[in-house]
Amino acid sequence: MHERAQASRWGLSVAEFSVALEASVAHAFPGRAPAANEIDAYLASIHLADLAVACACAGGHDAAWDHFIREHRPGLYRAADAIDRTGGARELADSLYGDLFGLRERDGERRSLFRYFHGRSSLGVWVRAVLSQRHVDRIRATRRLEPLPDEDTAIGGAAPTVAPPPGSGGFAAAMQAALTAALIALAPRDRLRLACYYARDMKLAAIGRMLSEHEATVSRHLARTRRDLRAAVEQWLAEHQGYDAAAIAECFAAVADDSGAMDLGTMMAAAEAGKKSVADRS
Amino acid sequence: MADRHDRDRSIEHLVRRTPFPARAAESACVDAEQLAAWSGGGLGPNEAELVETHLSDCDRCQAVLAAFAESAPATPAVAPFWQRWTMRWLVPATAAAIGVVGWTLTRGVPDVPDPATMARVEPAGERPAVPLPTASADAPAAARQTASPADTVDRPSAAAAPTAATGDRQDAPTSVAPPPRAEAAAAESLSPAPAIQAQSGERSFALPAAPPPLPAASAGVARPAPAPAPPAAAAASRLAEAGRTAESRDLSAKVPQEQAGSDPRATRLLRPGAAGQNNVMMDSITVLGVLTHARLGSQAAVVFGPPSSATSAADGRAATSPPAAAAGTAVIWRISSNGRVERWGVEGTMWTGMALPGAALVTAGSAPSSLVCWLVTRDGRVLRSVNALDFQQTAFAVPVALDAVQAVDADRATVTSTDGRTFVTTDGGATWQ
Repeated sequence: MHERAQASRWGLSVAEFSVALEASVAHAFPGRAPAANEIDAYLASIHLADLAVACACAGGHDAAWDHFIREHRPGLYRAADAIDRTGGARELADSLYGDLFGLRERDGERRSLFRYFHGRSSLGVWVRAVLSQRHVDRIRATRRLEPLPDEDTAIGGAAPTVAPPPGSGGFAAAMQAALTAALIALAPRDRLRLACYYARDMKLAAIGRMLSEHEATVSRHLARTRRDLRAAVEQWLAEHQGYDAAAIAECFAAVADDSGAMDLGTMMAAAEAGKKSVADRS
Repeated sequence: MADRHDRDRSIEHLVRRTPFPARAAESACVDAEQLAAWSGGGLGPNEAELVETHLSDCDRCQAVLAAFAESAPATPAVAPFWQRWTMRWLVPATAAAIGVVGWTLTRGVPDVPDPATMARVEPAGERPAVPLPTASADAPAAARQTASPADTVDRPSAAAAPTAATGDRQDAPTSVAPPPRAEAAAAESLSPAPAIQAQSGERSFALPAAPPPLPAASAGVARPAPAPAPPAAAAASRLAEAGRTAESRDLSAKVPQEQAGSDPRATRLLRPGAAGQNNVMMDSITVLGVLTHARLGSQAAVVFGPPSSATSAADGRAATSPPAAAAGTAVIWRISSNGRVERWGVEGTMWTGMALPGAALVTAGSAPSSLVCWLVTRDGRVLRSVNALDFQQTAFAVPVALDAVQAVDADRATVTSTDGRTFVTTDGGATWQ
């Protein structure tokens, strides 16, 4: 393993690398002792060379740091610029180096962020994921005083069972309740795809990259999920509200007619952004 | 129908403006390494499912996922099969090959040029300009005679024939002393001795003093002129010509006369289960027929079976209906676009869904015989059946997405992961290397 990882390039001893491998195995099989063949298969699947680089960087080996800076800094900056085009994430990327090096110490020992890397992905992808996490956490920290959607709308899997009676706003409310129940009942992958597209405004291609699907497949699945949602909503309205076909039609008409609460400032901003994003989200 | 579409649009409208309801996530948030490994297919099936479930529920992790996706280099996720570089040429090639087969079958008379005719239609102006030292005195006259306009008109098919001779002749510079190889091959078919001289590098090329007796049809008098080749046939001929190497040109000129006009590559493409099929051709299986191995790409479904199955399946119906020859005892397997596996043949009347251990998205399969079938899944499992009925999971335990399998028999198989690694077993999946 030491030889395959070319760990000696970074002056990493066999013992040091063994510790990293053991930590990686322990992280992959938490709470249990894996069988020998499981360990073999796992070690055959991880990115050994990247693990050696990370291990050496965490240990403060200069050659490994030079390699890391040379190979991964451009990609990290590109990722930062892609995440935040105003340059805000670039600052995060720079600060990330401090944590990767381990400027903080605990019990007299330098704590490098690299110790969280176990080789299950490539080092470059992992660094991008760390950067993304930090970016989101920083945004959420700045909005700490604002209500967060997940806290406000979390309903713990319990679908509402009672909807307001039919009326001008009743149909729309019933539709809202039915849709919420239908969304919760979706399969995790369908929910994730739907959330990525509608809640996160991700492009089809980006969703496809994450889910290993072609964007046309993502689009097809989204259309199918919408059909499933429609059927589930119709069924929910019939079963839980006792609506007949005419009342269900009224519900859908109410949704189509009701544009919801309007915030002109938000709409103007969205319209400006939409000129570009709609064209991009093919 | 319009009502349904309207309602679907209403649902979309509502989803867009509704805060997406997030269930209370039951597991801890996904860490950076889990997210990175999940996006690259590097997690085991159970862990990947946990991560996906959490991502679908957790608002913060969805935001991280969105930022992570935004930061990825702009590369297409999965190219559709018709855009992969190996497939770009295959679609027109397949269309052309099917056109050739269809035209040949409907026409009834195979248009097989013979080397002797090719030599006879060669224009005199494209002969080597300089006198050939060992050519006999009668040879130029014979060449001029064979290049008469009447012959050219009488045998238009020879000009469009998919042979090396025609193409080389049109492109060959006239002042080059060594004769084109096709001419040498043609001459070889007439008189072996001069051809051997030509191929040995000597600058001697001699047509026989008198052409051998030809059938009446070849002489261009008794046989009516055949119709010109259709564009598809000509395209296929050009394609076959372009794909043939110089070495194969030499070989093709030496094959017997009745095989000289056939394109062996096109034949292989259309022969179900033929030896030599490999993964390069697998994505076109819905068009070409039943092959031993199949890999699910972007198609609606793929069909595969043992070599003895479905000998007439190359009719383009493989994806939607079982091949006619599959009915009876032959066993054909189908992987649908959602990874479901179905079998045709044992019951003999319909596609039968197979129960697989665990919920698996099957991505590829291989059936080396009627009873043996190997399957691989996206979550890194290898399944095997030795009775065409029940599938057992093998001991393959590498947490990696698999997308190809090639089995030799019940014991030996090779699987390929999406990151290009291959794993081999020779003991029925008990151990892998």
